[in-house]
Amino acid sequence: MGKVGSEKGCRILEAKGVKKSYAVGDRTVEVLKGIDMVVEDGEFVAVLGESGSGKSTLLYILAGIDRPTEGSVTLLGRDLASVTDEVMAAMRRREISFVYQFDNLVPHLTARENIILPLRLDGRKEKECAEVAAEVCRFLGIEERLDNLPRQLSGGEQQRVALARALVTSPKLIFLDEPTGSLDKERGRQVMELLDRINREKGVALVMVTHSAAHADYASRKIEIEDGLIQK
Amino acid sequence: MTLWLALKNLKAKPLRTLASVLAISVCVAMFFCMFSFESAVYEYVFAVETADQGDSDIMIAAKSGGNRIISVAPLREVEGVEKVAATVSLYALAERGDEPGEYVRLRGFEDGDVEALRAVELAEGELPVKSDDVIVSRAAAEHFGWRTGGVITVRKLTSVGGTVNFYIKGIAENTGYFLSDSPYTVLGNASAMSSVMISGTTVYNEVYVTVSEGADISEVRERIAAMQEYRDHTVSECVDLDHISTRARNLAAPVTIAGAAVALLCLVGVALVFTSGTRDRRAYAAKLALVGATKKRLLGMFFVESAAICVVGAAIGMGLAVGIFALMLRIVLSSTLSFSVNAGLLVAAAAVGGAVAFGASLYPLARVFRASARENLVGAPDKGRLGAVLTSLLAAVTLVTLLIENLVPGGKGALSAVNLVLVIACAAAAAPRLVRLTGRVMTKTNAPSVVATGYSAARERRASGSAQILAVGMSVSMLLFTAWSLTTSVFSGLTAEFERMVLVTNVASDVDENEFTALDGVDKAELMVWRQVSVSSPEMDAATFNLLGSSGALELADFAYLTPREDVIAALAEGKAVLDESVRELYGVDVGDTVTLDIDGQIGELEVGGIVRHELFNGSYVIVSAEALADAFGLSPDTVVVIASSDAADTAEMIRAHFADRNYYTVPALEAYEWDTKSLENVFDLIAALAFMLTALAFAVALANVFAGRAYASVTRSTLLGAGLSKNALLGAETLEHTVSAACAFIFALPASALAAMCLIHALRMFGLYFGFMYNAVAAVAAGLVVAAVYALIPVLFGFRRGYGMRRS
Repeated sequence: MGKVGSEKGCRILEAKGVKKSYAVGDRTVEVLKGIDMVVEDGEFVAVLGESGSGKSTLLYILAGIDRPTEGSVTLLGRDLASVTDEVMAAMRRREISFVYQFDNLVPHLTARENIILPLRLDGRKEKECAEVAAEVCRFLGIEERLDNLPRQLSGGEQQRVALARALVTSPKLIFLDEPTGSLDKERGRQVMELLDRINREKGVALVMVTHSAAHADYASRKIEIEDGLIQK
Repeated sequence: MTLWLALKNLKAKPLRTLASVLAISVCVAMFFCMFSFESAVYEYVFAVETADQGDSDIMIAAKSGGNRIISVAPLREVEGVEKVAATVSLYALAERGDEPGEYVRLRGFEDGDVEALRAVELAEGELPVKSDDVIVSRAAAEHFGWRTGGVITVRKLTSVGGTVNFYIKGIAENTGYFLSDSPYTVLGNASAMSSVMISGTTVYNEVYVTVSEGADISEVRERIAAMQEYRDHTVSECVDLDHISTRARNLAAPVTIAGAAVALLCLVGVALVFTSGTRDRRAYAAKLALVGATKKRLLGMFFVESAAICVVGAAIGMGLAVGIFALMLRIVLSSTLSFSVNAGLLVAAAAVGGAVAFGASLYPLARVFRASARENLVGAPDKGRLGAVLTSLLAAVTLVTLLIENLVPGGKGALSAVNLVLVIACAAAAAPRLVRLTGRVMTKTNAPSVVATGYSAARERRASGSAQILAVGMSVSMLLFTAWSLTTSVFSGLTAEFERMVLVTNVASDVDENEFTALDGVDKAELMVWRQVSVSSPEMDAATFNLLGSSGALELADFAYLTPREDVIAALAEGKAVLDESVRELYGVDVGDTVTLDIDGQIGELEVGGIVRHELFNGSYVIVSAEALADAFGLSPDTVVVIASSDAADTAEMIRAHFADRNYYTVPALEAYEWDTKSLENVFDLIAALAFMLTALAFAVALANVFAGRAYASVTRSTLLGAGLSKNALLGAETLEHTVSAACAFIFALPASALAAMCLIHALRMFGLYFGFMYNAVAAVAAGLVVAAVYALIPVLFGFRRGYGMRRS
């Protein structure tokens, strides 16, 4: 088990000795057994692993959604253990985003309303929100069907709307949990190409969990997890 | 933004919003009815009781057998007297063609002055002009077929017989003098009315006195009572507020309790509706948290959402309250009397109902904020054993408060009402745990359907949630059905006991009872005092009791003797009073204590000599011998209570015909108390209607929970089918799951309803009502089993099998 990551560039995420265990009945299951990793500004990191390897748990801990049993995570210069709920929420509105496998969207808000939701929560004016959203939607090619509810969109469309929402705040880092997991091969490829563009053209760092080696090839760096430990 | 999100969420769940708003509206309406019903009934009873006298303060009436002609002139000279209105009041038989005559009350005023006591609201015609002109009510006109310009013929109350004709000059609305129109009143001039009793002379037997402003009514009454001219008359204050309060309270108490039950169920409904949406809320909160919503903002959004629902519900409830209130008054009082709405109480009901519902709606939020964003996102179950701890704590608290209620003196009352809620809450908390436990046991079996049921019962919120809803619904409906069945059977027993009783009032105190027993169809006749008195003691505030003034009263009804019968008879012979068990239970008044009787201002103390039990008049009666009443209060018997061998109506008719020349008012006892019995019957019908309504409501909520839960379980169903479970086996599994939920709810609801019945009976003491413990297990079990059976059969009744398929949405 070693530290994975480049020593060059600006570190935006650093995990040290992250362990996570759950109580299942009378037993304690250790999902993560000590993870050290670093993500630099503008990197596209793919976290690979089999089901049950602990990759999603790691992603949730790195994104500050879950807390480690041991170890520390420093995200954008802040130690997540000492970050308040207010600060974490502000980070989610301005600096980081999260996209999961499916069911990303609030079902009773339209696609457009879902996209601008973080901006509205940040107190930005509706006109400004609309301008930013329009630009992001143009970038992602989803200018149509924005007034539809999520259930009226296909799985691929829903994921692109989720990406738009993740991008609309101009974040430094986006966490992605199997973003293509619920899509067919073609739609999965389209989403991965969008992610690649987001990383290259916008300079946004991406940390993506996937079990697809093909999709992991889009990343600039791969980390493989097995049995709660980083293998390479 | 917070408001926008809250409103969006409300709009996205129209059924949930509608159900919550409806439940809150009904809750507010019930609160208003609880706050207002007794005062409205009081207003109505006050209006009925004071219909005769208008605003006058003192009434002077001829004692039975005494001088009926009252001299009015000296009254006008009494200090403090402002106005005197002399009237004659007679009961006479009005002829109805070939049919038997029917009693009417002839009420005559000084000529041309029928509005001496209050204004008459004429529907048609004019007020009486000539001496034999009369007016009648619209109800009387409809009953007898009378019209303006028509003739009313009544039989004379003289030994020579004959009739007197009156001419209908006008028909009045059923208000004012005619509000208490039983028997129907014929209003006219005293000169013509007197001729029914005596020819050529105008007589008065009821004089009403209005006291000048600032004068003390009781002092003026004492001055009049002390006058030589009125020593042989009854001089009493017109308004007996104690009596009016007692009547209003007795009638309002069951409605208030039933209203509280409905309000409670509505609040539980609000909490359950919000609880059923917890899964959605958790996912929603997680999604918002992941795009940067703070806990404060999430809390604000849910608060705004709940507040919006509560405000709208409370506003609609205010409108609904007026409608339900009017309907309940109409049902219970059988009256179209207009009533005023107390705006303050309406706002208070809306505020209390809205605030409590707001609290109930926030209960499920605890789960949302207890879990992390990730747990909310994946719908992870609750951690730890908090639920089990809370259930155990609730059970322990309930046990302690039940013990305090039953073992500590004075514990019964307000604490009983709290315990009623706690007992039902315990059933609601325990039933889901039994469902989960049963589910775990079922998973150990080999039958596929049973195993499938076991997993869903043990782990799905749907089965345990339904058990919770059913436990509350069953407990309340079992309680109401048993209350309905018991009150109806007690009432039926009471009416059966009185259906052969005839009251002959206005008799002379020296009338020979044998004149009555000599008549065919009369088993017994007892001359006695039969009236209302105010009773108090150091332990008990003044309350109106029915005075049964004769030792022979014990033979008229089936009393249970808590003091040995021979001791009771001896006590009555010694001039002591005998009271109902309820007085001992409610106020601690026992044998050897002293009670104070206030009869028309004459006050006397009597020692309590015995305690008996009978449901007559809700236990508010006192038995004293006629001799003791004569000695202590100078009171003479004025009523003959007749027990007929068969039909009371026929016997009453026969007595009327036999004593047609005497001014007796003969009426079957049940007819005399028709208003009270009808009102009570209406209350029981209302309880029955509520029982059915609440059962249906609980069932509807459980059904909604089933359909909401099934929507989430579609994947599970298709997985089970894919795993080889047949459609019939799946239907069997769902039916079994429903059966488990219903059975677990029933197991806790049955004892909860019995305990709740006990608490309810104890809580009635707050209203001065005492009943021994009563519980109709057959009615409760029947009500519970019907609900359980219908719930268990939902999968079959709603054709769940047709929707089974392998497609996944």
